This record gives sequence, structure tokens and C-alpha cells, in this order.
Amino acid sequence: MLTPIATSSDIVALQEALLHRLELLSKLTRYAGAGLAYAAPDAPASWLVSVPGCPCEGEFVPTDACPADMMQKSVEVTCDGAPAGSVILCVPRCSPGLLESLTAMVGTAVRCAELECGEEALLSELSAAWESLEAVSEVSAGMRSLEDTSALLERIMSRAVGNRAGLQAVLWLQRDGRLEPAVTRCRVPCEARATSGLVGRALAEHSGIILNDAARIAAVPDLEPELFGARSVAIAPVTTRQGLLGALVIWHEDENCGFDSRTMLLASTLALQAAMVAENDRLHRASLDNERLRQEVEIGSVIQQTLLLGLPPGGMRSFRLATLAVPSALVDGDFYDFFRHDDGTLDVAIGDVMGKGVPAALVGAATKSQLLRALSGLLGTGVRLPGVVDVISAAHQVVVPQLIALERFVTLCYARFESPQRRLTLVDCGHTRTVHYRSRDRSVALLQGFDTPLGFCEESSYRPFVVSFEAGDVFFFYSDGLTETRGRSGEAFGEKRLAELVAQHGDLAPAALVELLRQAVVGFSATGTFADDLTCVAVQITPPLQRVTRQFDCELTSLGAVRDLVGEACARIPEYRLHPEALGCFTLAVNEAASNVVRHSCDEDAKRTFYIDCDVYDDRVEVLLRHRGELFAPSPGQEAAPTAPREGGLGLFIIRQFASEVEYNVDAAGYTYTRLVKRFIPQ
Amino acid sequence: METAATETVGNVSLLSLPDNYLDASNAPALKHRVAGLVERSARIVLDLSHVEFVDSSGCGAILTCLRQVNGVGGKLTVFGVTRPVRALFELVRMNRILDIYETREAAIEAAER
Repeated sequence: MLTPIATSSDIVALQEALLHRLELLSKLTRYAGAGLAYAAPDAPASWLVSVPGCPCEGEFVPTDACPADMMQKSVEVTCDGAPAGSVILCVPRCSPGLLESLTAMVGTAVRCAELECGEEALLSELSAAWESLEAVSEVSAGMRSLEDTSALLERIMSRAVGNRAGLQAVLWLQRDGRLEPAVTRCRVPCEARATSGLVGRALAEHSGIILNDAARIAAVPDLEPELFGARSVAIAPVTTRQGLLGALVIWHEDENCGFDSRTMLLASTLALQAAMVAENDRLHRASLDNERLRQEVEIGSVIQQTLLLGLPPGGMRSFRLATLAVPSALVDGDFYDFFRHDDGTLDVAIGDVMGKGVPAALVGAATKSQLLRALSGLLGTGVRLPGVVDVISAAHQVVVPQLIALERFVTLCYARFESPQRRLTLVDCGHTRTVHYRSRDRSVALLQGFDTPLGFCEESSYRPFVVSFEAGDVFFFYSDGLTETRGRSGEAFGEKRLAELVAQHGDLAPAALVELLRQAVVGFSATGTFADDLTCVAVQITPPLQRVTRQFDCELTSLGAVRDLVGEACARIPEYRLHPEALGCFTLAVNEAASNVVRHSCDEDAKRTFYIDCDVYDDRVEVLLRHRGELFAPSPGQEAAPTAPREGGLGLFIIRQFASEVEYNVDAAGYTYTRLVKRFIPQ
Repeated sequence: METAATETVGNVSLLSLPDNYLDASNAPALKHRVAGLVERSARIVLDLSHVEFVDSSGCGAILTCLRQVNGVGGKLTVFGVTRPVRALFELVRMNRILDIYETREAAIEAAER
């Protein structure tokens, strides 16, 4: 908002116009024996036409000093609504009609003068507007063709000093709380300075200033050095929606060169243009910054996809896997990977690096890489299946000193799934608690280990713990980005909410479960975006297409029921996939295993029962015989083909002969088990 | 094991296994039954035509019976061997020492010699 600067030039112009008109009336006034005077604002009146023979003919006197036979009447003059003096008529008291007529004529002369001046003012304003429009047009054309901000500002400044010879100007722009000269058109050099002086006043008041008084200019405290000789100064703030950017200062050192509202209008227009140029420049730089940020996020995303997130192995019949990785606005260090061993054992590693950004992503990638390298190294030594602790300890030797040096740490959960043993071995290094969904009773348990994150300390003793599982169970691993997602009221999604959802939907296929959880978290989130990466891995122990489970008394008379159970479970397998003769042979193998359990392994002191689970999958039948008793693990010689008929000891040979896989072991729950698998043609 | 039906044809005892299986649960009964027969007649024919399933204990029982009969200079033959049972016999080499015949008559005739 510009403050109007009152000048006397308009009033002088009005006076000139009025006197010209009154000159026409003076003869008539003189002829009528009347007088005519004009009083400028705050000044005594003086005669234009004095009354001949009147005692005050020489000097005008106000009404109260007027002779008794004379009377006065004044007509007020205004200039753009402001008082601009008055015209006073002095008429013999004996001629009231004359007073009325002259008053009307003077009033008309005053209105005509006022209209004439108004018209002049409008023309002047139009001229100033035209100048501004020209300036806008000229600079705008430059904005389209010139890409260089400096060139555009130079053009604006050329326009600012181009109207009159001797004009000087500086465009000041604020940076870090100081004013810097962006473009100068002045005789003395200008340097960056604190906001003060006349420019400081304009910026503090958020308004333009015009000063045409050299003395007043010189009296301004902390006046800018370049303005020391100025006789007229016009300052227009450079303002955008972002706030004050600076100011355009125009001045002149000539004595007869006052600035007026037209100068202010032009300065304001050019300041607006400068603001647009500066704002465009800022937006352009912001756009470049955004592009750099976008590229960084893209790089981070590539790092995440290629280095941090492993691909779930395909073709695993014992496990079904699903993963989810929702990146946040920033690159993060969440990682996971899968290692499939030759015997079908599956290792899953999921971790989270403290901190964010590309450095965290690189630490995550390095940790994951070292885990893989440690595993490969141990496998290279001839170990068939390196222990989980051995893998982490080997990785620890390389990673932890680096992490300590970098003052970072990594939470890690390393899980090994051994399907035959129905056993999960877990080392938990301060990671989020794993959710274990038990399909048997649709309950969940939260698994928590004992160890601290990698990088906390140099100690490398890790303690595994073992959890048994069954077909259909689900293990859900996740990063804290999931549970710490904030809702609309600020509360976290939380472990409890997650566990409840897994308990309700644990029977879904892993991919469906993960998608359901993703939707739940997105719905819960206040913004739909995440401050932290959201990473999770769901491992489901493949549920059988059909399961028959039964408990048997430890009696040889149970063998018939055992054979019936196998037949019942496999009844729906088409003959072209599992020939009846092959099924009969496998049934014989199961019969032999059950017979051994009854005759050799059932603990006399225990409750004399054993259990059989018969699970039919797409490509196999798995029969698991469990009982309480000592483990009997036959030697290869006991399973060898007989060279001659013999009365006993054929069962182990038959089992080995007719089962695709045989295993004798003890599960995590302490049951001794014999597991027989018969593979057939998959669907 | 249900009571095995015994038929005497000449000097041959023909023993029909009543169950359709011969496993660890009824194998001892077969051995016991044959042991009783051997005391009277060492020429024995086993009718396996109803037996659909034999396990290692069943094989062992038949082998025990064979050795008992052979031990007293007798003869034991079998007939009516179903396909899965024959497959098992071949797997455990029972077919090498056990005289297996297709028909009842052939088995009896062989046992008489």
C-alpha cells in the first residue's frame, strides 16, 4: 500500500486555472462595484479586484473588519476533495441580487477550474499508467525470451532509470537478514549491509516512500551513503507472497527534479516485476532442488529394490512367502533376504538400520551382503547347513567393528525354517517381535529373542531359540515402520493391533494377508504416507490340501486303522498322479513305521498312544508318526536290501524302498517322530 | 486272527488265511497255527487268495512256517498270491525260496510230492 504524498503542485495548477477564470470575471466585478479576493489554504486573502473607494481598497480585510455598507461571501475551493482555499466576493450591501449573481458566477468558475484540474490529473495518471504498462510489457517480453534472471533484473533497472537523465537506482534483495545489491545503476559502489536507513524504513513500514526534500532526506538516520546527495528519492518495496524480498530505490541529485505519484507508480510496477523475476528464480531453484531430491529418492529406491530387498525364492512347496516394502519419502535402511538351502531349509533375514538416508541404505545393504557372504563362506567349508549362530557370528566379525566406527546399529532377525523338523530357529537382535500365528487354534504369540542389535557392543555371543510349527502356521516379520505408523489422533498402529489382525486373518494366503495389513495401516495412517519405510515378510508353512490326524493306541491291532487312515487321506488323489500300486506300497511303508513304533519305541511308562498326521499336498503325501519314546535312527546297513530272505528286520528296508523321503528325529515339542513322504506327479 | 480254516486233502493240510491282511497283529497267530499243523502233517498249503496286504511281519511269519516245515522234511506251498503281495515277496526275495503256484490244485500236487 502506497502512502499518497501530498504535494502543492496540484493546488498550484488549480490556482492557476482558477485565476485564469476569475480574470474573465474581474471586469464584470469591477464594473458592478464589487471586489474579488482569493485566499490560499492557511494564508491571508488578497485582492484580485479591489472595491474602488472602499476603505479597505488597499488591503483585504476579513468580514468582521469590513465597512458597514459592504458584505462578503466566500466560495470554497477544493482540490481532489481537499481544501484548496476560497474565493471571497465583496459587494455593496444595497445590492443583494448582485451578490447572488456574482456568487453563482464565481461558483461556476471554481467548478470549471476544479474540473479542468481533475481532467489534467486524470490525464497525468493515465500517462503514468501507460508508462507502467509499457514497463510491464517490456519486462514481461523479456521474461519470456530471457532465461537469465540477472539479465531480466538488468532490464528492469534500465527501465527504472530510463525515463529521465540523471536518475540513479539500486535493486536491493534480502539474503540471510542482510540487503544485497542485486543490480545497481548509480555512481558510487553499493555493498551488502544490514537493513537500515531509508530503505529499512520502507521495509519496516511495508510501504513506498517519496521524498522531494534534500534536507529531510539528509536527516534520515543511518542514511544509505549513495543517497547522501539525493534531492528526490522514491522507494518501492519488492514483495511476493513469500514476504518482503527487498526494495527498488530510485533517486535524483538534480535540484529541479521532484518525484510525484507517477514516479511512484512506475517504481511500484517495476518492483512488482522484480519480485516476479526473483520469485520465478526461487521457484526454479526449488524445482531444481526438488528434482535433486527426487533423484536421490529414486536412487534410494533402486538401492532398496536391488541391494536391500531380496527376492523370495520360487518353487518352495513347504513355504509360501509374501513381502511388502512401502518406501517412505526418505531413503531408509530396511532390508530382508532369503536363503534357500539344498535340503529345502529356508533362512530369512530381516533388518532395520538406525537412521535414514542413503548412508542408512548402504549400511543395510552391507549388512545383508555380509550375512550372505558369511553363509556362503561357511557352506564353502563343507558344512551342509551352517548353524544360525555361526552365520551371524561370522557376519558380526566384519560388520560390527564398522558399525561401531560409524556409530550406527542394525536390528536383525535371522530365522531358519526346517520343514521336516517343523522347527523355527530364531536369533533376534533387538528387532521387532515376530508374530507367530498358530493355525491349530488360531492364536498368536509374539516371539522375542535375547540379543542386542548389531553394533551395540563388540561381544558376539548370540543365543538362538527354537519354536515348533505346524502346517498352516504363519510367521510375520516386520520393521518398526509398520507398528509406529501414526493415526489421526497421534497414536501408533502398535503391536497389539497388528497381532489381532494376524490372529483374525492368519488363514489367508500370505500375499492376501500382507495386502490386508497394508490396507489397514494405510487406512490407519493420518496422511496415507509413511515417515518410515514399511517392510514386512510373511512366511506361511504351506497348509496341506487335506489333513487327516488321528491318535492310536500303541497296539499292533491299530495297524489296520493306520492303513485305513492313509487310504482315507489319499482317496482324492487321481490314479494318474499316484498309481494305486504306488499308494499301496507307501501304505505298506507307513504300516512298517507304525509297527516299529508299537513294537520298539512306545515308552512303557508313557501313555501308550501315538499320533499320525497324514497331509496331502499338491505334489506329495506326508505322514508324520509321533510318539513319546526313544529315538530310533537306523543305520544304512539296517535299511539295505536283503541278500536272502529273512524272518525279521525287513521293515526298515521296506520303508526306505517305498517312501520318497524318510526321516527319524525329535521335534521341538519333544516328540520322537518318523516322517515319510511319498512324492507324486503335481497338478 | 480269525480261526484259519483247515482242510485236509490227502496227506496235505490246506490252510486258508481268513483275513485280508497278514501283518504284525496276526502274523504270530499264523506261525502258531502252522506249528500245530506241522506236528500232524508236514505237507502244508497256504491259501492267500483273500490276502490283499502282507507286511514284513507277515513275510517273516511265512518264512518261519517254511523253515518249520522244511525242518521236519515236509513241504509248504502257497497259491492265490495277489499282485501287491507278490510284489512284496519279490522285493524281499521270498519268491526265491517259496513255492508259489497259480492254482489250488497245483499247490496241493506240489505239496504231495
